[in-house]
Amino acid sequence: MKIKRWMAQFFFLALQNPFLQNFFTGTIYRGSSKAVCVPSLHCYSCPSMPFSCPIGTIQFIFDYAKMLPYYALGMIIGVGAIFGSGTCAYFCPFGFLQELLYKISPFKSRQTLPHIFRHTKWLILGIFVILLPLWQHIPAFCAYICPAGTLEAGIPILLANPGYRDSAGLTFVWKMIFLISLILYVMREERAFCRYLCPLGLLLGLFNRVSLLQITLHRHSCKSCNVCGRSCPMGLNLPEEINAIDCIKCGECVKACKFSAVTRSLKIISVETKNDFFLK
Amino acid sequence: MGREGILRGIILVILLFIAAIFIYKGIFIPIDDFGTKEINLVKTNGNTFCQSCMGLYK
Repeated sequence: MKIKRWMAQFFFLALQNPFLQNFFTGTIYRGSSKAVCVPSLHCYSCPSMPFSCPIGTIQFIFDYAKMLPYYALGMIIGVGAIFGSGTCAYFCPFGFLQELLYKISPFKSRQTLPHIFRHTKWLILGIFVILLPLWQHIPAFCAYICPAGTLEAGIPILLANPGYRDSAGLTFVWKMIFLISLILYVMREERAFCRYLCPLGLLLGLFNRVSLLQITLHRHSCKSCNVCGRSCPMGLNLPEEINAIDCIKCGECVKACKFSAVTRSLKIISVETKNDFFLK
Repeated sequence: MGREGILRGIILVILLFIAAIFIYKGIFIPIDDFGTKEINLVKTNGNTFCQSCMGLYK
């Protein structure tokens, strides 16, 4: 089942959180690795996080320097060109959390929001990540939306630092309401944040069609049984939407297909094989 | 390798080249007269509590 991928996700979760003791002191890591952006929605104010979040970095550079955030974009383009949004499936701790919540949920559902809601990500990217930081000097995605920041930074730092609690106003109340609502909804619809709201997944997904990591449909083997579609954690209409912007290349469709009609490979031209470590 | 594969290969090389230039620019090229580089800003930003991350905007 998903055990190999969950092991990989747990490994990367541990890799991105080596300073767990900082949760008790309410401080954050300040070493040189903070200059490294990693392709996951993991708040740089999270006490245990040694790296930086690319979406936070993009907003900060737009806000502070009024210039194109070359460094963060370079990382996103480089990672996207190789893996597409495959890092969402393996590297992002918030994606992992959503999968675990859905796994234990007593009220999961196969019903999804209408497809048009998937375009909300474009609005989030355009308005909250680009326009508001540029024109209003507000890192608006972090300030008003990012549930990872609330969960990983806001709550633990306020818990460990009583002095900050007086500063928590209506915005924090809004962020808590949003976080709780999202958690409840994620238990109903798998990876709902990734499906409808995540700007990082959108940016990485732009490279899905050309990235080295490709999911390939072999139409001559496809029986149109739709097993792949039912296995997709992103609720995509498979096999038509293989490698679409919303595809996270997790390989669940590859595992689900009994006819080897769907394969995944790290090659420019996909070959007909299931020789993939995470699928064995 | 078919035509689609060649095209994808060319696009990939271009993308990786752009990524390398962007990352090089972010790490080595100063953005102001004080010699500040973009990566310095990233590190500074990552070194401080971000009030917005904590929802501390009133």
